[in-house]
Amino acid sequence: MDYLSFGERCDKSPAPECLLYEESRRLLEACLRNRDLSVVELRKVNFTNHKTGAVTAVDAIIVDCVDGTYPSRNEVGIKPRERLALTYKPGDGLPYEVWALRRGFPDTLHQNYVAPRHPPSLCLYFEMWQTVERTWTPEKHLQRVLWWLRETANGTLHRGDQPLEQFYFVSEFEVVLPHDFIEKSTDRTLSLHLEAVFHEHDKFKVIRAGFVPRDKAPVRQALSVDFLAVTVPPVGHSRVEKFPNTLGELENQFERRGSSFVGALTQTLLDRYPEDGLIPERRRTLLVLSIPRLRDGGDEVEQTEVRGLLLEEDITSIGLKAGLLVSSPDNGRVYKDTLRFLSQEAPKGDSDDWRDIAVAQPIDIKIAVTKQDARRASGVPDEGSDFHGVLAGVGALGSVLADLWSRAGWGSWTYVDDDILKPHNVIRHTGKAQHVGYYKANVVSTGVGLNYSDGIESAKGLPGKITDADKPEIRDAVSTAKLLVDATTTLHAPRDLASQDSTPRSASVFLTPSGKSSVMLLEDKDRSTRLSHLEAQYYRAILNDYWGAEHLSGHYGGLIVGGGCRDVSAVISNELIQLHGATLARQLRTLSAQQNAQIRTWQLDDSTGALSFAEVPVQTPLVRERLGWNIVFDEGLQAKFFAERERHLPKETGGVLLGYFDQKLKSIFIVDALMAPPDSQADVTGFTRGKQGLREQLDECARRTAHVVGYIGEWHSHPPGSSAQSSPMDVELLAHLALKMTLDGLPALMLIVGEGEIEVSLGEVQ
Amino acid sequence: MHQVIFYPVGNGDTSQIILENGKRILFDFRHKKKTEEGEGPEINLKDRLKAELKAAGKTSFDVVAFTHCDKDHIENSVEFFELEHAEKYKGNGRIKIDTLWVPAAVILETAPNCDQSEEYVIWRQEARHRLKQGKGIRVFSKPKMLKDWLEKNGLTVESRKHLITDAGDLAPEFTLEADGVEFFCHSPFIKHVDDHDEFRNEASLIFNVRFRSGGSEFDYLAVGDSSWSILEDIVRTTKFHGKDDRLAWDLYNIPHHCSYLALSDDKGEQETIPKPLVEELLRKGKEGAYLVSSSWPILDTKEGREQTQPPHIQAQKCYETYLDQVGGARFLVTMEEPNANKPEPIIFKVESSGISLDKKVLSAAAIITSTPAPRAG
Repeated sequence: MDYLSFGERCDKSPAPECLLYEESRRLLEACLRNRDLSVVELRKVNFTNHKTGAVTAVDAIIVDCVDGTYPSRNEVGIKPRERLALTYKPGDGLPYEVWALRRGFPDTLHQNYVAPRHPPSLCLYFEMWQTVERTWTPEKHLQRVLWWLRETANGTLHRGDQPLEQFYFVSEFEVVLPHDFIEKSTDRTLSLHLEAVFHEHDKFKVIRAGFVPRDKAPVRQALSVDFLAVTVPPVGHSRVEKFPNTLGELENQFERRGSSFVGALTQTLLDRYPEDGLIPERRRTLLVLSIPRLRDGGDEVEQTEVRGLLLEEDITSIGLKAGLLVSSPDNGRVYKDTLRFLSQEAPKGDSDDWRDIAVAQPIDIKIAVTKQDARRASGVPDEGSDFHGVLAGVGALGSVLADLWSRAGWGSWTYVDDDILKPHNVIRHTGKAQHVGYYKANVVSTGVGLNYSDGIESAKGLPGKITDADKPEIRDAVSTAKLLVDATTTLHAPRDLASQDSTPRSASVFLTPSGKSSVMLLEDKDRSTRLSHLEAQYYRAILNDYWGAEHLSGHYGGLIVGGGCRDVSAVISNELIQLHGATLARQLRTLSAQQNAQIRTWQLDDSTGALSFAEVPVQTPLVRERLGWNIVFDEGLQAKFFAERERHLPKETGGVLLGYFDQKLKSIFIVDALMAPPDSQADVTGFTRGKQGLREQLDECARRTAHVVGYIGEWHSHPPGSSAQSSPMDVELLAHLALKMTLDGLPALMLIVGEGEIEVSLGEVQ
Repeated sequence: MHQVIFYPVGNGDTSQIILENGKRILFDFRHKKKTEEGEGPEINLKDRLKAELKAAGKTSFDVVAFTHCDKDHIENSVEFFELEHAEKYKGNGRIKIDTLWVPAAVILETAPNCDQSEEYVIWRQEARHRLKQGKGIRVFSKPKMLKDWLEKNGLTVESRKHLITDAGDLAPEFTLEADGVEFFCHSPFIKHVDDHDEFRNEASLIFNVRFRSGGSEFDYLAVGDSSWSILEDIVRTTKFHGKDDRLAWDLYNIPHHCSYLALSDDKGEQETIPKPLVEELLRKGKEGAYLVSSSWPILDTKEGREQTQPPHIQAQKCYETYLDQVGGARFLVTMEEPNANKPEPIIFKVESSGISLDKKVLSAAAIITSTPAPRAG
């Protein structure tokens, strides 16, 4: 057997003392105990760090491995006995490496990239060493080595469901290309400017690339390079290739895989080369290879790997060496043809000189992400994601939603907010201290713009109130939007928006004052149930559902600035904003794809971190117009009235109506009805509402709803067979109520439940 | 896929070839009585073979070959197999032998009386019976003494020719085409049967077993007990007949429990130096080849180096030296695999992609949990 030389034999081999490290000695012990291994000798190998030039001595245990578990004449070419060097090197990265010393050890999948003249190195672990070391023992390491040999020999190391192994090893550098690189790659007037992102002094890893006109001088330290984007014919699954040193080596690699790049290169070069020629320059060329990859046995492209090589020569030189271009003796320009000058042989395209063009540097290619990429990575479907939306209110919650949706590639948004970022806002806002003083709308649009490279995120900031109908840009934004999300944490904005037919489908999201709960109200697609209707139904749920008792508690905190029940200028950590923001963002994104309206709320159990969920069934709204007022209730409440009447028949019954007035909208929202107090008097002809416990009930109603919902009128039922028309007695009652209500400047509401019908009357003192 | 199985029976021999078509050829039989009481470390061969046959749905071996009739190759066999020459050896779950293979010496009274164990005599009776019946037997080589014996028993050579195979010929029971295997007889050959009646080992069966699987062929050198001089004769004769390929091996069942005497007459201090033609045979090993020593574990200690009885560590080192030179895989000892405490049969798989060991790779936990744990106090 012929073995590669690797390191120097230790003088005292095989004495364990000649190993430098305790770890190596433990590995040696394990080797000696393993019956499938025989220790040949101990060596030292010097590794040179390419960057620093420092030399590190490494222990190497040379072993012969035979466990006999794979066929002796396997096609892969792993011999039943293989000589390996097991090295231990302290420091960063994987300390334990395994090198195959037999000359002619096959190129297989799952080998590590090695420096020139090093033996092949087995890629044993898929995870990082920091993960591996938690379960690593020398014995398991040796089993892993035997496993690698066995699985590789049997051709089963790479499972069918594993992703294809990449064609090239990862390069030391990567270039981030513009997202529209592929489309623009055929543009002859452009060159790429490469700008390295320096960490310290001259160290860098990432180079950012941007298109500029070819005749434009590079800015600052940027490097101007030519570029060629070449798509090669598909390549099957293979071991990872070493980066080539010349274009000739590159072509050989592709030929071995039944592919070729030179044809594609020729075509691209001719396509891209300007008709009026170029002056040769001392510049390099970035060759971007798109390599379609096939899984073995298939002819379907599974993925396309994009790799880059920085070539030492410019595009004219490459063309000349490929015999594609010809240099004019008159002006030194290099042309595709001889049309512009005489007495020169036309290029024949048959030169082989291109094979010697040196590769200066292999470069990993990353393409700047687009919104499609973001969607794919986030599991967001493309369908329904390209729409214009308006996000009203980009405070703490709104700014979080804006950022989440931007990064998910969902929608293209206009942010409307008239507020300016204050120092204390930064605690719970995506804006930074440097943004203090700017409009939140602009802070957020700038912020999400930075999520992508230039020109991808189209979000716009519009300083102003969402309800400001005088501002044409706001009006336009609202009227062209497909979805409006209200995160203003106000009562008025959603109500006002709901009242207008020009408003798109809308949602309102907010956190409760404690920050423990969040709420989402979402209109149906047809807007038959609007935010204002949903709001009233939400309050009814607060009054009746178990979760409502403390839902809005904390409303009277010490830091009240605004005073609305959804005010978030309270003691709420950014954790809660992020937590509920994420829930709301995701829920709204998925639910807005559906037809129906939603009322949902999430409560945090702070001791466990669990979020519990409650859904309020949405009822169809019922609206009556009386005396210029819209009186709003819904089928759910209607059913409750009917049931209550039924329960007391043949007697009448009744109680107090709960709800609120909106003077601006001239609307009365009936939220709920209290049942007859125990001291009420009811018979088959009439009903007198008592008062026992009523005060407490109204107090509780105010407490639960942050003083939004209160007394708005009275209701009673009529006996069997009776309509809901007011009796003379009822008219008197209404007059009485109207007189009282006028103290508050409000009309009085009376609701009568008759046989299969409900009648509402409004009394106002003129 | 064909299989070649070596059973751990101490310093003794039992191996089996199981062909892809299900046919089974057993070489030698050594069963230790103590293993019936659960004593080891040798395997309880009877139980093992019966279980294997049962699993395969068979009640007989296609061939049982006794390479020679030393005790360590036939021990307790007459109570395991069904013998046709006497009623008392029939039935009762005994395992049938479709065809019995023996060297001519077994038919003849060539061994000194003191070596003629009771079992040896019984097998001679059986072989003679089958030969007289003219079926269920193959005799290898036909020395003059065999012809004499046939005539004495009123038979002609002509009438029994189809039951006799000479060295240099193939046993007709199997062909590469039909069975994926052929047995080329190296030994015994006339010279030795006639000249050295007292050395039964030298008259033992030696085959080149050639397997075919897919497009690949593999050579297994199956040697019963033998000595260096016999091997040199074989190499010389085989080369003389231009059949060098029959000397090559992917698998070599090394003779006589790794005795140095199969290499040379001089054990050597650290490593035996093989005689020139034996060395030539060792160099015929192919890349990735295996060596199997059917023996006790081989000790690389002072005691091991000095012990008279095989296995001899000096011999092992010699074999390993040449195995290394030919790029071979591994030297295995039947009583060491997978460990010396509870050895298990070594099973080679022979398939087109090569030879490999059929062994389970188990984690420590899997091993511990595969048996009851020791009693806790």
